[in-house]
Amino acid sequence: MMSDKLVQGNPENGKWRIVCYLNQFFGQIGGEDKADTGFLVKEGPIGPAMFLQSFFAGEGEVVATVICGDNYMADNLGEAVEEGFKLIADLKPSIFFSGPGFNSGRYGVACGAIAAAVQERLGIPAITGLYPENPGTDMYRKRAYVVKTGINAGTMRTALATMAGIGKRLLKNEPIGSAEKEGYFARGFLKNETVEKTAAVRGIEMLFDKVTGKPFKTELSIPQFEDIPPAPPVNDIKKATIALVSDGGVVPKGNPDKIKVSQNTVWASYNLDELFANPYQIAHSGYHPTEVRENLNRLLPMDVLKELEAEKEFGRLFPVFYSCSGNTTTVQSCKAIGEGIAKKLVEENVTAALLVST
Amino acid sequence: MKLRMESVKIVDVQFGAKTSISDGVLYINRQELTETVAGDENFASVGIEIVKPGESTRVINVVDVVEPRCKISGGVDFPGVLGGFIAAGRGTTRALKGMAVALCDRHRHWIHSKGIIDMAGPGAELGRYGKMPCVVVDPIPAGDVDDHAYAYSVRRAGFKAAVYLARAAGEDQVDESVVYDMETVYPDLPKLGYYYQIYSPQHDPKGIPDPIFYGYPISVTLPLVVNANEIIDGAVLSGYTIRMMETYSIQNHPIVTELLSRHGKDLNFAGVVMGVCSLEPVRRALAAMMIGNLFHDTLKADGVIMTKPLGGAPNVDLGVAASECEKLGVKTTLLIQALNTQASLDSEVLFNDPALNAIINCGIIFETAQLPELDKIIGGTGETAVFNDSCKQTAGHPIVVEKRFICGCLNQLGASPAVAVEY
Repeated sequence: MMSDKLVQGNPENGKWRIVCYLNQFFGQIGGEDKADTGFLVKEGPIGPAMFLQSFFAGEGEVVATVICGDNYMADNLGEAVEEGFKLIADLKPSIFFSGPGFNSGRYGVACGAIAAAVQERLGIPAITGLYPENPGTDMYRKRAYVVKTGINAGTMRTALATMAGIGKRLLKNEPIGSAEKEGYFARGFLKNETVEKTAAVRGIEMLFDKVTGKPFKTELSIPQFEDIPPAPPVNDIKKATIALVSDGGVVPKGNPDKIKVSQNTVWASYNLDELFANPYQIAHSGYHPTEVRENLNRLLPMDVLKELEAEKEFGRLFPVFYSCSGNTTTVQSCKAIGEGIAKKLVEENVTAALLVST
Repeated sequence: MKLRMESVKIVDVQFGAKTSISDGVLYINRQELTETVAGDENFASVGIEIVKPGESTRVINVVDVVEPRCKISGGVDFPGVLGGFIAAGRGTTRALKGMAVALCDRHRHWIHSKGIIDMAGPGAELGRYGKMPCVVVDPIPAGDVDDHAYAYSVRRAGFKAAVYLARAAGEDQVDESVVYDMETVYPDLPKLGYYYQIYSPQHDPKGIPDPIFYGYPISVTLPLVVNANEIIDGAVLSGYTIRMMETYSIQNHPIVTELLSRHGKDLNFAGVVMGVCSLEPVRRALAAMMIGNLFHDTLKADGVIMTKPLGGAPNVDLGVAASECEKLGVKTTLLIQALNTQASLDSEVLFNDPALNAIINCGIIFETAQLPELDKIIGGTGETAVFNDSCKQTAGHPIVVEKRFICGCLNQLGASPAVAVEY
C-alpha cells in the first residue's frame, strides 16, 4: 500500500545521517571494466555525494557512500538489492539518496530499486534522480521520490540541489509541493489546488482556442485502455458451475472485510446462503441502494438461478459469492481485484461467472 | 430572449423590525419571514437563523443554497415551483448579491446527500458560502412525513425565502444592471454552444427523480434546446441534494454567464442543449446522436463546452455525446472531475476517443478535509451524523469530510478554481 507519510528519523548530534548510493563510475572505482564490482561501503562522501553534502551544510553529514557495479546489480537485481539494503540499514540513515542515474539504464533501475527498498522497509525518505525515459523512472516513481534530471551528468548540480531540497524538507516534516512545481515524477497521488481562473473560464478559453485553430493543452488526458479479448463461450452449459461476482458492494452487516464505498481496492467472498439468511449492507455510494436493501435478489439473482439450477438449465450454482465495490475505482485497482477473483475462480474449478453490476 | 438582471449588493444581514435594505444591510423581520415559509403541512415549525463569516458556526444537513431573487417584470418567481409556466429568462429580475439562503433538511436519512457550511476555519476557506452572510431556513418535520413530499416542501420554503428577501430591494437600491441579449446574433464570430447535462437518475430512490426543470422531473427527457437566459433565471434548479451544483451556482451559472458576457464581443453564443445522463447504451447512443445533430444542424455551433453532474456514469455519457459532436466537426471541451486521490491525470477520464483532446480538470471530489469542532451547530444538533466512510462522526466534533460536501468548494458547472494536481 502506498503511503503519503514517511517516518521521521532523528538527527544524531544535531546532524542528519545521510547515506548515498553510487555506481562504480560515480563511486570512482572505474568504468565499464569495473561494472562487475560488488558492494563496497566507503566512509564519508564520495564524488556526487560530496556535492550533496554541501547542500546540507551543518545540518547533515554523509556518513557513508555505498558503491556497487552496474552489472553486479543488473545481473541479479533482487538479491543485489537485498545485499545493499542490509548494508544501508546497518548504517542507520535518517535519509537515503541514490544516483542521480540520469539516462543510464542499469544504473537508473538500480537507483530506483534500492531507493524503493529503503523507503518502504526503513520508512525513511529515499530520493533518486532520473531522466524521464530511464526505465527506472516508471518502475519506481511511485515507491520513492524520483527527481527529474537531464539526460546526463551535465545536470548533476541542479539534480542534486533538487534532491537535497526535497530531502531536507522531508526530514523536517515540511510540505512538498506538486510533482510539476518541485521537479519530481508524480508518485501516484492527486491533490486539489486552486488556480487563478475558474474551470468555466478556462474551459471557454480552451474551446475558443480549439475552434479558432490556436494551440491549447488539455488538463486531463485520455487513458490508454488495454484491449481485453472476451473469454471463449462455455462448452456445455448443462455441466457448468456458475459463480456470482458483483461490484454492487453487498457485504454482511458490519462489513467485515472493510470494502470501501468508493475508491475501493479490496474484494471478499461470502457464502451465498448465509449472505441471504443474515442481515447485509451495501458498501457502495454510487447508486441508491433502496431496492437492493429491500430484496437482495435484485442485485444477486439467486431466486432465478436456483430455479434454473433445479430445472437443470446449468450444472450448479457455486455456493460462494465474490463481492467488491465498483465506484470510482481506478483501472489499476479494478485490474488487481479482477485478477484476484479470477485466480480464485479458476482454483475452484468454476466454469463461468455471472458479473452482476448496478 | 432578453433578460435584465439587476443586482443589489448586500454587505451584512441582520434581524430588524421591518424587512428592508439600508446602506447594503439587509434587515429581516424574522417573524414575517418565518410565516412566509412555514405554511406547509409537512413542517411542524421552521427555524430562521442568520450566520456570518467568522462565526464559529457549522450549518449541517444543507440540501441547497439559493441566491435571493425576485421577478420585477416579464415573468413569475421560480416558474413551475412557485408560479405558473411562464418562461424564465425574459423581462427583469432583481438579485441580492453577496449573500445566500441555505436550506436544511433534517428529515431525509440519506446523509451522504447533505452538505455543510462552516462559517469559520478551514471549511470557510474552502467553501463559497462561509465567506458571505447566509440566511438559514431550517424546517422541523411534522412527524413521519413522506421523504419526497418533505423534500419538495423544503425546496419551496427556500425559494419562498429567496423571493421574500429580494422583494426588500427597491428600484433605487439597484447597484448594477446587465442585459443578457440572446436575440441578436453575430454570424461573423466563432459560434460556441453549451451542452448542459443537468441530471443523472442513478441515485433516485424508487426511481423517483428530482424535479429540477421548471419544478418538473426530467430524468427520461431526450436532449432539448433551451435558452441560456432561462437557465440563469430560475428554470433549472438543483436536485434534492448538494451535488456540487447548488441552485446558487445555477443562478450564477459560470459558463452561461461567461458566454453571455462575451456574446457579441469575441464570440457568438450559439445556444444551449440540455440533457440527462443515460444509464443504458441504446438510449445513450440515441441521445448522443441528437446532441451532435442539435449543435451541428440546429444551433450551427463551431464548438461546444460540456458539463456533467455526479461521477462515473455521466462521465461515460458525456464522452459519447462529445464524440458525436466531433464526428460532425463540432469541436468540444469537457469539464471533468477527478474522482480518486491515488491516481494520475491520465487515469480519471472514462472515455478514450483521441478527438476529445480538450478536457478541463475540475479538481478531485473525494479528497477529504479535516475540519475542527465549531461552537454552534445549525440545521441539526452536535450529535447529527455527518457523512464519511465510517459513517460514525457527528457534527459537534472535529470531522473529516470529502470536499464535495463542503458547499461551494467544488462545482461541476465550473465555478470553482480547484484543479487536481499530481504529487
